Amino acid sequence: MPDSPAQDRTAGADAPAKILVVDDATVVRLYYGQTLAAEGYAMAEAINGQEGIERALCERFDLCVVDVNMPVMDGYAFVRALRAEPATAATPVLMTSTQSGDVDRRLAVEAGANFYLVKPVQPAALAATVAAMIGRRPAPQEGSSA
Amino acid sequence: MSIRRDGDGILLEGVCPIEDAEAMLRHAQEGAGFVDWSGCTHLHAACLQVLLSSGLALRGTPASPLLAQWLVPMLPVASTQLSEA
Amino acid sequence: MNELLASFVTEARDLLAEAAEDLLALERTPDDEAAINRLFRSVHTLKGSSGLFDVAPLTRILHAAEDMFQAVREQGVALSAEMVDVALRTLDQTGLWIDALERNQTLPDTAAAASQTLAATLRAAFGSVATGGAAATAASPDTAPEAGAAAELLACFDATLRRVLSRESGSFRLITYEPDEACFFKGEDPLHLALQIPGMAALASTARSPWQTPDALDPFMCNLRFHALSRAGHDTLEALFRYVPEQVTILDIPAAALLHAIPAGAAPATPAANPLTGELLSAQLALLDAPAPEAERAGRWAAAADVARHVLQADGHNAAAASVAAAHAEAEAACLPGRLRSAIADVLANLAAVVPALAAAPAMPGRDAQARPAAEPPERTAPRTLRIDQEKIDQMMNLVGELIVAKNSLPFLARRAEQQFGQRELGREIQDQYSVIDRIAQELQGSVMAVRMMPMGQVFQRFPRLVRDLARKLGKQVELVIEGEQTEADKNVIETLFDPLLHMVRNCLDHAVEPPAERIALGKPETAIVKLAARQDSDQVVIEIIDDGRGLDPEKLKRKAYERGLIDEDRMAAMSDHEARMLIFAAGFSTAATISDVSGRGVGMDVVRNAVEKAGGRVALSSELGRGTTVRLNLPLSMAVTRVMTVTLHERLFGIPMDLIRETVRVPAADILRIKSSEAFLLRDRVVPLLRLASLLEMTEPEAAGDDVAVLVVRVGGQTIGLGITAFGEGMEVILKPLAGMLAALGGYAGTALLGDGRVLLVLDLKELIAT
Repeated sequence: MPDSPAQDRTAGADAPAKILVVDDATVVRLYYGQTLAAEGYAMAEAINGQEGIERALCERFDLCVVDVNMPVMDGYAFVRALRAEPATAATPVLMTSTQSGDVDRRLAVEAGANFYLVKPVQPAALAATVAAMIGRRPAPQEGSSA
Repeated sequence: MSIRRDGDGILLEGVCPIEDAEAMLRHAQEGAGFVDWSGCTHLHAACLQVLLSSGLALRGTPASPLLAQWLVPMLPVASTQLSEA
Repeated sequence: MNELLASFVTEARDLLAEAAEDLLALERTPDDEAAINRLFRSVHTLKGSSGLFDVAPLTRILHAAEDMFQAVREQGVALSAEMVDVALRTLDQTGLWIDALERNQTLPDTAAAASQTLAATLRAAFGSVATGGAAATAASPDTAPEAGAAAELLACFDATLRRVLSRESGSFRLITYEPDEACFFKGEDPLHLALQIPGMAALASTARSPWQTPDALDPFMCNLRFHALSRAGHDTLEALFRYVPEQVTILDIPAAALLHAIPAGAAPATPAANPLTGELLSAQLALLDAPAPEAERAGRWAAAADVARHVLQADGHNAAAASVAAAHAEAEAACLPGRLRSAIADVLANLAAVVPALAAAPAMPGRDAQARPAAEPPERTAPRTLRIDQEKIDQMMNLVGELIVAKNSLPFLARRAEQQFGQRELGREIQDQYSVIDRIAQELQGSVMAVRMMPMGQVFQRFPRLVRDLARKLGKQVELVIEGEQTEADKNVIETLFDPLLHMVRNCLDHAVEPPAERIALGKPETAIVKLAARQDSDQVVIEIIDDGRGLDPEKLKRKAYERGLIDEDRMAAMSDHEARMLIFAAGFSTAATISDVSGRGVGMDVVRNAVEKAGGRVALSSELGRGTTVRLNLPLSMAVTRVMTVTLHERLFGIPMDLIRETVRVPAADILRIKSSEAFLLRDRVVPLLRLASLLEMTEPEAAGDDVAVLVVRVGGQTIGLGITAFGEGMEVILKPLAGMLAALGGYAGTALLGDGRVLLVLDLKELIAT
């Protein structure tokens, strides 16, 4: 069990880790996308939870970065649906929102998110958090190409 | 008196009120080289301004833990050195 | 403009439009839950996105608006008309600032001050009805805007702060306290206050303006600014600064973000683990502790285990990572998350003891053996719609126009090959190629035109707001009904429409709609209905403005026109009711007894008619006294390309807009009727006046003494007229360019177009020519 396929997607595999950004704000998707693509991740986007689930079901992601407030299906519902679906249940989720209260943090965790960042997320903080959650070493140590 | 001139230095003791700022500034203009604040328990913000702007070197660690914890890192000059410039 | 900002500008405009719509919907139907939710989300999203840019004033007002809508949504605060007014003002201001951002990439200098005022007004607007509205604006958790600037602020903290932070998780409040310059005279001691900050993790001070030399220093003028990091909550901090809320800002910053923002400085003295590691591990514990429905449990454990393992690996704690993985396997097998939980908790507790050197060994064995299946190439979701800058479309349209003109040169070439060089074959081949290029060019043109099509809603959506404001101003009750907003027309047409529509709607509210009392007295419903409707009718778009107001009184209109000297007594007597109603479109006619500031300074409906006709459209009107009026505009769907017919007049070529031409006939000279100095001819038993184009253009060339006259039957200003010319040319599509410079002053020309052979075609404005 410790050697589940999931384990392969950890530190420093050669294919880029795939990240799904679920946010209704184009500008936020673009911002996260630019920041993370610059770090060498493969990016995908969805504009709400519903679309996010559909994407996650047909493609395996190493991490989902999810907004809380979205039309159609919000971030909480997205994580719940993700966790309830065997194919996607173990996907790590980083939730981001402009709400900074402790209650919001708690709600995110209760919904099943692995971590919570308050928007606006600084590029460095986003990159560092994503790298840690995906299991990638900080850039300098990482062999840039195998 | 919470402030007095002692040779080359300025001695701060107890609670230093706003008036001390002017005295400290005067001492600084008259050639005082350092401030010994080991006996100081509180410092008015005006005094802090003089410390920050005058470049007076500091000696000792203030008696108040609050000052020691927060003001020592804020003031640029190491507590035992004399500023030469 | 940078891509991110450009994207923000576009998105912001969409959100603003939606927000305005929802706001008005909400005012009509206060319990419209969907509308308040959408409204809140629009403003919330906008505020969130704005935080990515250096636009604090913008973010501040959006934040205040968001708070207002939240109060409406969650605290049942009733949305008053005053609240709607100020909220609309906020949206307007936001729109203006978005425009400024697009132009200058920055907000105007006045923004900060305007933002303060507006935010305060907003908060006052709902604070006066809400209970907890006293929240000081300056001290409110205005997190988003300044957080970008926070990195700069944080630079003032000592680098040793990293060490402090590395032991912390959760979020901090970054407090900036800028005491009043004269505070010492009020007996304040800002340092004393700063030192009272609960849960303080760091304190720094900066000088507001550079320190003076001791000689020049005024020790009693406060030049200090304090920056502090605190673990305490907003409420506690706000309570501390309750007497000086305007001097304090408090921001939320997660510890992780802080670490990245603070200058690295020297490496921490002790080899502490990456603070983010601890924070992430704590979060996984929280996730395991959170109650979860049965179906989601396994997923949560797996995700938590995965993240914990990754985090440890990323930080170099491979052994710990392995133990977490093992614990997860056990936990899963035994269905006991406790195992996993305690494994993570242990790791967390021991983190400080983990010597990173140990973990510096190569990555876990077996990793290479289990090479992951060849990964698919990174894939990007294709956006379903593409946002394109209008300028790019215009540029495309211009290029298509040039292509069409260039293409038109081929028939000339074919003719030359044939006639001048006697190459019939070549001429025919060129003609064939021309047909191919012509077809492609037309399809291309069609495609570009389709891209330029915009829904009527683009224009209509501005009216609910307008009607609301106007009605409020005039003390009338009006319900605006909009139909067919999805009807599409060319962007130019849509843009041309706004002003005429605006004018008509204003007129309608000002003059046609009765005050509520009058309506009741007349037995009408108190609230008037004004309808804006659009529909497509073959290649035209039809727009109607329908009201149930007073209706036009033909007698009154005739009298007014007479008084104004627009018609004489005979004409007044002979005029039909319909003709009388059409008088409102006459130049210099205004029915309002006094000029109101609503309908503008006596600009009549003639302006509307001119604008519509300039765009190739028509205006029609029907009205019933006491029942209401309907104004109908017919406009071409597209006006980028004009179809013209070329005509020859004494060897000179002119273009005449095709849509005016009814037919072409040849009239034998003998059949021309002469009545005094006028000419006419019979067309299917109707007498049609005949005008010679040469005399309209004041050309002095002698009339050709031919057997018959080439006559273009045109319909201008509701009249059928025969236009005598020398010879008919061909029909073609041209891109009409308005006359510029000195030529612009010349009446009678609609514009010029470039022909395929390089000649310039003058296109006539028949209406103007015939009227003069």
